[in-house]
Amino acid sequence: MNYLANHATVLLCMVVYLGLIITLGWYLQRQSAKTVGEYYLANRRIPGWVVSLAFFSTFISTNTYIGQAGESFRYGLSWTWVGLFWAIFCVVSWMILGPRMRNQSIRLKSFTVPDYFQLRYQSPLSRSIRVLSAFIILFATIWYMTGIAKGIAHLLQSVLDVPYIYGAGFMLFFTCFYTISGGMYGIMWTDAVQGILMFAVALLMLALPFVYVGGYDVLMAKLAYVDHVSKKGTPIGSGLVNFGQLTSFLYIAGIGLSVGMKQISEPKLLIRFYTVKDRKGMKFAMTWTPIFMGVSLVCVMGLGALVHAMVTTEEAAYLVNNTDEVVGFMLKKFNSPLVSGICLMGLFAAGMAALASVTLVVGTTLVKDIWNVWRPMPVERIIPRTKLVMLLYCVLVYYFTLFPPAGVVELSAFAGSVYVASFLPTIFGGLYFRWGTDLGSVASMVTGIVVNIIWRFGVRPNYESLADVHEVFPAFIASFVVYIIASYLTANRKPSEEHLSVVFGTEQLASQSSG
Amino acid sequence: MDFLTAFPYWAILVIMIVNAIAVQFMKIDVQDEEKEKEPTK
Repeated sequence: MNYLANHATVLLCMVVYLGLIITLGWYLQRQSAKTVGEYYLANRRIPGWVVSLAFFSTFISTNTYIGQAGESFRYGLSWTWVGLFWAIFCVVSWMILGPRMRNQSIRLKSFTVPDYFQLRYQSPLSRSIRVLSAFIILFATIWYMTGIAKGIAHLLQSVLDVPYIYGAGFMLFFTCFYTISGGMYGIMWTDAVQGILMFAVALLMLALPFVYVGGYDVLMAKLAYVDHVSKKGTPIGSGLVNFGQLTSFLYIAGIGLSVGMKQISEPKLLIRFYTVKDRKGMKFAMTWTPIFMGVSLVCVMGLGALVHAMVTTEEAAYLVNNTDEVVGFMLKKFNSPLVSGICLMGLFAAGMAALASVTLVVGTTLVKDIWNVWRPMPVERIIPRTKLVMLLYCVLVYYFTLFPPAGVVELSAFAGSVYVASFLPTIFGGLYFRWGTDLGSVASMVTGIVVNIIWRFGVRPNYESLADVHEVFPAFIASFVVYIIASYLTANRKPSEEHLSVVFGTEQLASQSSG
Repeated sequence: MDFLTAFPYWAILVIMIVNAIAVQFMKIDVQDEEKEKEPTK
């Protein structure tokens, strides 16, 4: 009874939020999932504002609201540079990839990113590209989902005193349940609602440290010089507000690029382009997605640094080594059940939106790009099997969440780096380079993942001078160079001109000009 | 707060505004699904 009395307001907010999601999911489920096209892509009939909010809420997960926000507790306001990289790649993603990816996916009748690779690089080897890319997705996604579940579990522990193992399990399986129910249609609309909530909560969370200490001037005066210590045990002093004192720009750029470039290489985000309904929707999403993203990043990326003004020296010494707990700690310190409840709703939304999208990508990848390629199945079995593998994958992620190999930021950045290095050359080359070949694609994917693993586990831990050089730099450069060289050396494997005309839509232009 | 620490806050806002203006002037080509082609074999 004591527990209920102490947490009544927060629990009520959570019940309202989860009830809303279940109701929405139930309503949307009745309108979708009749065919594979509907379940996987919502029949490409989603309005631009929904896609825009869904893209935002999918990319900005708890990894951002909890992990990155908390990281600035350790590295100061300079950490907002990471957000700048992300904002740049959000614009690049919608400008460079959005319309072109949507058009090519329609022309090729592509349902998933791996099947886009197969259809685009048409050759005897292209089926292998599809399966290889599917395995890369499964490998990278585990770390990403683990990071999200870990972040939410810590939050539930801080705010609601829910033991870590129960919080992680609840988060994963509740999201899995409504993803299974709604398919892409349900996820897109639910993500949009969650995006609105997340946007509001980002603004609210930014206000908390200012309100707590009594205004902007007081807060900035406190941050100008603090007597807390850094992770290495050295005094932070004025490091929170002075560039590069608490970490190197190289490290900031590594995290900024590896996570930010996911917007131009990660399937759960690229698949959003497939679903845009029309030109008007595309224009809306191209305009507003960077705005949703940018404002939220301005609010949360430096939030942890502001929390220094709310904590004692002893509390700071603990938090600097446990940055995933900073946001939860801030809510607890603010001590307003209503504010905690509202923020928890937004943070839950951030985690669930990203988890749902990525869970669906895993399901579609496992069934359509691996299982169905290995052993073709009747079409009526595709959706039930997709649902089953989503559940099994969540069980696997739950295991890793109980024994996480790293913090939220590092897990997310590693997953991002794998996507960037393995997929970006193949995607970009597929969309823009007629001379890209299947062997160029395979070679770059293999190079990307191998360099990632070697650099992450072999080089960074063993060479101190290279510890801040994130794996995304060598892995991406190597995979892009390999794509170019291998495509050049295997130019005879280029798809036929007829096929490339379909891919690039040039046969339409030819017929229009001759007409 | 020094200039380089404050820079990303302003830069993000500028990027949002410049992007919004640029998109209004862009010619965006989005294909209708009705016109879609048969997949190549």
